[in-house]
Amino acid sequence: MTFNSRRLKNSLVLFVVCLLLNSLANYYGTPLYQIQIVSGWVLMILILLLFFYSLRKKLTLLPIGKTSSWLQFHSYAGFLSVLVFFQHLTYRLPNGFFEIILASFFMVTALSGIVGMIFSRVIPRHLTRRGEEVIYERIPLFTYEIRKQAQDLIIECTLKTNSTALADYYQNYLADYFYKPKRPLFHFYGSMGALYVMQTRHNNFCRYLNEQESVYAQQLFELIRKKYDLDFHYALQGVLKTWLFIHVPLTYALILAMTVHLMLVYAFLGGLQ
Amino acid sequence: MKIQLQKFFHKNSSYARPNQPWVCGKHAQGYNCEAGPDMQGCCRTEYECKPYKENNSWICSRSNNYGGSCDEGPMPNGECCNKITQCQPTRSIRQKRSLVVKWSVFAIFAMMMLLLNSHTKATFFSPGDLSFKHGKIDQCSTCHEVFDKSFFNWVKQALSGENTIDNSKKCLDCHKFGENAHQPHGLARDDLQQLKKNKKETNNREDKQLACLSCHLEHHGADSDLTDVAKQNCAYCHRLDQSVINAQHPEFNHYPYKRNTRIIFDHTTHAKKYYYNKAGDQLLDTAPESCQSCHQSDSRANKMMQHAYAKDCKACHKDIFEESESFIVFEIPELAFDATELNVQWPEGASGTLTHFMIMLLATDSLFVEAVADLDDYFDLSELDKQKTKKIVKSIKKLFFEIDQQGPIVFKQRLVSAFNCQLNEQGQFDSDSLCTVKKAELDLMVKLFPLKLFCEAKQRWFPSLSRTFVNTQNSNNFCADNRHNHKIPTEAGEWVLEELSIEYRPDKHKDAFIKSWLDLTSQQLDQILPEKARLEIFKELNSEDASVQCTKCHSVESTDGKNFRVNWPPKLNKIAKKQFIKFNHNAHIKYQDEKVCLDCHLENLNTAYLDSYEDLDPLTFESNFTTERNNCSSCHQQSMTKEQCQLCHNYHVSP
Repeated sequence: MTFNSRRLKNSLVLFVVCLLLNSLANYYGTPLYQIQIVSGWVLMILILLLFFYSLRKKLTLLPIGKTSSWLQFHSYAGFLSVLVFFQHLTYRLPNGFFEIILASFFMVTALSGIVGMIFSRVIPRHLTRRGEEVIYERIPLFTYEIRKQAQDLIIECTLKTNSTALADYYQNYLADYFYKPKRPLFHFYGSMGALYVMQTRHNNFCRYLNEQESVYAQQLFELIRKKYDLDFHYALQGVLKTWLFIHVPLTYALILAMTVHLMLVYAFLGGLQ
Repeated sequence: MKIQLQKFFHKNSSYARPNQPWVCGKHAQGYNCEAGPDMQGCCRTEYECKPYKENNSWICSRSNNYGGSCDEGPMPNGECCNKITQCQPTRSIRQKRSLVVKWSVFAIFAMMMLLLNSHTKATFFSPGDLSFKHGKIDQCSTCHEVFDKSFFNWVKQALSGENTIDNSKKCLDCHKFGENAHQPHGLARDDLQQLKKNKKETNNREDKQLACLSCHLEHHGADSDLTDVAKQNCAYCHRLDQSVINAQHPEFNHYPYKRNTRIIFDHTTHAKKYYYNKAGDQLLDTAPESCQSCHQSDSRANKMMQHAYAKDCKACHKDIFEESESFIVFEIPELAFDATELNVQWPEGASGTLTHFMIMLLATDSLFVEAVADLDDYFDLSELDKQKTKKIVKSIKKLFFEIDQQGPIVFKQRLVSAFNCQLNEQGQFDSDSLCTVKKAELDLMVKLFPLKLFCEAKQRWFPSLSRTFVNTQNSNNFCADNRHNHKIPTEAGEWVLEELSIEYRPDKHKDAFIKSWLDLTSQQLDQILPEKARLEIFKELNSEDASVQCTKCHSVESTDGKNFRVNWPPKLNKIAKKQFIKFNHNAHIKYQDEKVCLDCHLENLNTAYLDSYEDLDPLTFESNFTTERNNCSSCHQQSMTKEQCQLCHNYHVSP
């Protein structure tokens, strides 16, 4: 099944579920205050089902469907939960402090989820277009390896040409660049400006080198470009990991606040029957 | 130069475990030891490998990823010769995320618990400010009993079986809606079922109880309107389209003319006969300028009330009372035998008959009952034999004797008996009797009889009754006692003592005597004799020959086919019970042209308005006007102005 056909199918399912929920609401006479009770319960069940996705990823042994299927469900149920959320609020802003906090938890969680979904759709395409595909956790190691190669190249050049020009250039301008990932924000926006600056400076520097040194300088620039691509991967893969730092903790916070909200509702509205 | 960073296959690349909580501290320095940190985040590596023994010699076990077997080989004691410095493991990204989750959950939980047990819990957990009308309530416990209790009580309450109805009972401490407050419309089940008999569009929810918050949502801020109820709430029971009034709102088949007007006023006839000239093309001076000349809105601006008789009707109809004729209430009937033949004293020249009023007063006298038992017509005494005629004579004399001796109590006792009522020892009505009249009505009736004239009449017609009858009550002679203070109320007309009769002439509007008798005789009696007299009195006062025709304007309606009701006021006083429908006339006519009323009340010139009163059924009615639903829906639609149900309908109709 292609991505488009799968999206069409899932969107249709989402639409049918929306219609079904609306019909059920009308059938059970929810126009009275029960609409908020029913929408509240539907929302809570949806949030719990969305939460189960993270549990599913941990429970790899249980035969409860593929994680990819769960992710699909997570995405579309997330959209449905936003609709039910607005229905639950009766399309107006909450008034109380606690309710504002609870609504903020939900909105930020939902927004981070939507943003995360967009990132996970867009960023991988950019990652495959530039540089080598590397594992995020190994990038510090690869950074070290590139630095090591650059340092070895400079030593070899110094020994063979008896000139410290390239070594001085490295020490003055490139040592810090090779030391660790740089400029994540530039890379997030896909900027090549920093590389262009380095290339211009490198080209200006190369005019004063002899032919033997120029060969080493050319190899050095290859390493510069490789490091630049690695930084790009580090930045973008970092984004793919970082949005979960907002989404996941807020999900737990939301469930906790939601439980308190449920208790408050039934304590002051009428007990659970 | 092609640089390949990511290596594959286990011989070239060490196995990364990103799901493990700790990562080797030397990872960023290009070194990853094989063992890695333990689960507590401690470095557990001292040597590059752990040699193994084979054929009594130690063999290096360093993996290919770390350079393979070293040249030096293990130490003689089996230790690796390449000792490595321990690292400080760092948390993996998953572990960091997990830590953020734990701390945030803990922080929020702690904050919640702190707030739930603090003095600021009302501020923090309140779902919003109260509406303006509840603004004075400053304690949550005023409405929520559990609020002042501990958090665990809140949880207990949340898990209890108490429902929203129980919670709404606190509302009724201030808002009184009767014992059926939580029933739909605050009405009893039977009343609801009666109402929905012909309402197909209503769901069967009369058994359902509704909490106050079903419609009135609090905590939506001071500006929120608690009475602003969504149409969907009504649609919960009334299966109407929730969108627009002209979609499924019933037609105004009867509204606002569900029943006939209690005051009979034919607008068409009046307009044709009295407001226009004969050609019908010019208004006369006597014509009202507009509808509002005769109709003014009531205090709630809900209904347009008619002006009182004195303001509008009297100008043309005052002759009815000023020139009214008197009618006989009591007279000396003509006997079939001479008084000497019967050996009784009887006024000479008596030529009258028994009036219905007399029969009502004599009907409970056993003498009279025995005398007329076989008569078809009570007014024709010529068929009676001597004995029965004597009984009639004695009965009439007895009435006068008793009035002479006892005064008004005689009227009261006789009317009480005639109207199926009984008096107990305290002189009050006995609740067990079949009495259909009110005590006040009878008391008024007694007051309206002209005792002075009866005393005079007795003296003139029957001067020597004390020889015939004995005063068994041992009371003082009422007529002889000038100290009695019996006064006829001013609402009554003029009483006249003629030669052989007592007559009455109603000379003003709201005549108490006629009104009382019409009211009293409208109810059916179960005794044959009073019943016949009652009917005759009711017919006589209703007839076209009546002295004043009250029922020409005050309509009469049959309540159950046998009993009747004369509609005195234009509207029944139903302050205790609110109507389902309300209409703010003022809002619609203010600053409008005088003829704006006719925009909605369309004239219906060909209606048989007066004829519709003949069957005495108030529900078979033809109005001079019609109203169409489109009049409302032309403005009350979503794009123009409000269209909520409660704009025209009251929900709470209970007292």
